[in-house]
Amino acid sequence: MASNNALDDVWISDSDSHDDKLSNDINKLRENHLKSGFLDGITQAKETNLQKGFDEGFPQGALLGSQVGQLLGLLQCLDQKYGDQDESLRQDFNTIQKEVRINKVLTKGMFNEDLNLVGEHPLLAKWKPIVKSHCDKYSVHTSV
Amino acid sequence: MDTDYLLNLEQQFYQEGYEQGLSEKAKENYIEGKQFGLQVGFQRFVILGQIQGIVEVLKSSLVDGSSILKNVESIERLLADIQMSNDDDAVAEYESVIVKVRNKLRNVLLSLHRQCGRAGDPLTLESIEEASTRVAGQLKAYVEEENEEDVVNGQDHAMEW
Repeated sequence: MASNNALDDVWISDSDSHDDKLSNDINKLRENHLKSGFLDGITQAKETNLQKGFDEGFPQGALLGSQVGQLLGLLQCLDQKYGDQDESLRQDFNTIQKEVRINKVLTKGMFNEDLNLVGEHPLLAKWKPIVKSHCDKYSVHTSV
Repeated sequence: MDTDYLLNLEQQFYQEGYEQGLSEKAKENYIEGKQFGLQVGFQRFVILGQIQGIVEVLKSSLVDGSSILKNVESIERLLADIQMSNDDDAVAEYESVIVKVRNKLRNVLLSLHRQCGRAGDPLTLESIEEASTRVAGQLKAYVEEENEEDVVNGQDHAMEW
């Protein structure tokens, strides 16, 4: 019995250590390749997703910028022509330059979690009718 | 255990890690890129919208058939053709159109000033660009780094928002 047990022990322990070694090697192999795959994946995804986001954000920003710019340009040109005699026009031209600054237009609170606008931008909604009324007063036709 | 089996296993582990890496922070990176795209798009187009607005006011007081009106209308046509996209063709088109628009507008403003000879501050390209810069901020990031990849990599220029 004793020798049998001893024999079993030998075999068992030998087979255990063989399996352990194999599974250790495989684990190490797995860990190494998993890690290098993960790093490559992150790098690849970062570039792709940054670019994807940029390309989708750009036209939306361009549209906002051009809408804001149009309001600004209308008031600036009207102010240059009539601002000396039109106090409220002058005041609105001064105010709009502060209120539609990039950091006030591009504010997280005005977009949803995917950075899309829900409806019209609040600052455009505020300024369009103001600018329009100045345009009407001086018979300026605008696409606003 | 043969070599093919091991190589296969390596590939399989690599792929597994790669997939995990791809989905890691995908949304954050997308949002980060989008913020920067919104910013650059905004900065690039304020001046064009502004010129559109100025042109609309100028048109209201110009005589039909006058040469100044013709120039103003050609500015409008140039503006109407600009694409709001970040692909290479659109960006190249933007660069060439904005130079033409600036030059034409400068001439229009000079002619108008000469014509009326009015006292007071005339509207100049400089005063237009000042207002634009006040609203859009500096375009440093984009001007220094023209191609798309650099724009995206220029994350340190992106504003906080």
